[in-house]
Amino acid sequence: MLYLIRHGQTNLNKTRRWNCQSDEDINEEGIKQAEAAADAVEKLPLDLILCSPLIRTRHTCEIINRNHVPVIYDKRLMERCGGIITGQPYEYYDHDLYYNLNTKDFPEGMEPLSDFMGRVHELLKEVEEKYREKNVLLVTHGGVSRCVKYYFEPIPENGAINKDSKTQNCEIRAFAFGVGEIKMEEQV
Amino acid sequence: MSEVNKLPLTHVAATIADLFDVERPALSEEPLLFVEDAVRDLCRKPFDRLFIQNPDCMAQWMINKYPDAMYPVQKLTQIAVPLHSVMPSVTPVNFGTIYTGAMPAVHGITEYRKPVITIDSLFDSMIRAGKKIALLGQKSCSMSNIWLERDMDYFVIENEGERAEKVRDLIIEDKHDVIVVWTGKYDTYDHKYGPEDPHSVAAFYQQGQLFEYFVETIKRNWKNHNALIGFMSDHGCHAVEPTEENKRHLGDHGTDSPLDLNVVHYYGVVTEKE
Repeated sequence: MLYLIRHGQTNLNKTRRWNCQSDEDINEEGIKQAEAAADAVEKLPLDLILCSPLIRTRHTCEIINRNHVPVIYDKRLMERCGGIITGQPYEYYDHDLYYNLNTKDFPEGMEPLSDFMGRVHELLKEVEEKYREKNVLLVTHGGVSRCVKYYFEPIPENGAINKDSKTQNCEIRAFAFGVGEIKMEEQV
Repeated sequence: MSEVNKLPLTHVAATIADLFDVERPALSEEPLLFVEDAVRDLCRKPFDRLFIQNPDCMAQWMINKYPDAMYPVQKLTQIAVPLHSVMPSVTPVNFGTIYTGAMPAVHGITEYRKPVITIDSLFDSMIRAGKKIALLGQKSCSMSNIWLERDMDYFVIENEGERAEKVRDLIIEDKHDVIVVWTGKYDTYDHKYGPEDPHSVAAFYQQGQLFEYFVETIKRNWKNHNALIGFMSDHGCHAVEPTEENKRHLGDHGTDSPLDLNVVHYYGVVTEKE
C-alpha cells in the first residue's frame, strides 16, 4: 500500500502564494495539522517513509513519525520548481496553465510539467518494483500529489491534472498498486 | 516517547562494511538492506571515502523537540534510520556495538569501562582492505580508548573546536580513506547542566552545525571521490529529578527507557559530480 500526506500549512499557503521550491517551514497551524494527522499515521502499519527534502515536509515528517519508521529523503518528491512565480500571489500565474501538460510556454525558470511528472512517476515505478509488498508513506507536496494520482489514473486528453486532484495540508491519501486510490476511511 | 525503536545498533557495522565493499566484521549482525538499497540508488559507483561523525548522546526525543537542530544534518543526508541502543545505554558499550555489529556480551564491554575491544571491528575490516583510517577524539573518551592497538592514525584533541579544525585539515590533506570523529560536547553539558539547559541545547545545535562544516569541507575538497557520510550517535538521555544536593535536572543515561535508548542515524553521499 502506498500512502501520501501533504505537508502542514506554511505562511505562503496561508497568504495564497506559490510555494514551489521555496524552503519555508510550516507555521503554527501547520504544526497543529501535523499533530492531528499523526494520530492517523500512527495507526498505519508503515515499513518506510519517503520524504521530500524541503523543510516543510521534513518538519511535518518529524511530527507524524511517532512510530519511528526509517525515512529516506528523495529529491524527486520535491515540489515543482516554479521559477519566477515562486513566492508570488496565486493570481500571478494561472492555475489551469500551471497544471496542464499541454502548456508549452513557461515563466522563466519553471520546471516543465512533463519533467516534474516524469521524476515523480520514475520514483513511483521504483517504489512499485521494490516495495510493492510493503507499506510506504510519501511525505510530499500538493503538486506531487497530483502527479501521484495520475500514476494510478489515465491522464485526461486535454492534459489538465488539476481537476479533483488537490490534497489539503496534512490530508492523507491511500493507493494500491494495480488498483488505484483507496478511501482512507477504509484504512485507518 | 513511549516505545523503543525497532532496530538495534548491531546492524550498523555490516551496513557500512557492505556499502564500502569491505568484509563485514566477523561477529556483526545482519546489515540494513533497505539502507544499502537506498544508498546505492544515490551512488552507483564504489565509495572510496568514508566520513562519520559520532556525536555523543543525541537523543531522539531531543531531535523531535528541537527539529531545526538537525536541519543541517538532514539537508546533507538522504536517509534517517531510527535505531535503539543496546543495554546498558552508555557510551563505550554502544560505540563498541556500532563498530563491531555485536552485542555487548560478544564485544566484551558490558558496563561503563573502556578496555580495548579485541574482537573484529569495522576498523579491522577497513585495515585488512588496505584503508588508511583517522580516528579523532578526546583523551578520556571511549572512542579514543576502545579502538587502540590498531594500525590507524589516532588524533587526541581535548577541545572540540580544535578537533573540528583537525578534521578540516585531514579532509583537505586527503590522505585518509576513512575519517571518524567523536564529538561529545552535548553529552558533557547534559551531565553538567541537564539535557535542556540553554548551554546544553546550544551544544546540541552545534553538533549539527559541525556536521555541516565537515560535509561542506568534503564537498569542496573531495571532488574526485565518492564519499559515504554518516551522523551516528550512541545513545539518548533523560533528565533526573533534582536532589537536595543538586537542584538542577541534570542529565543521565544508562537505563532501558526509550529516552535513553532511541537515536537516529543519518546516512548520505557526496559524489564526484558534486
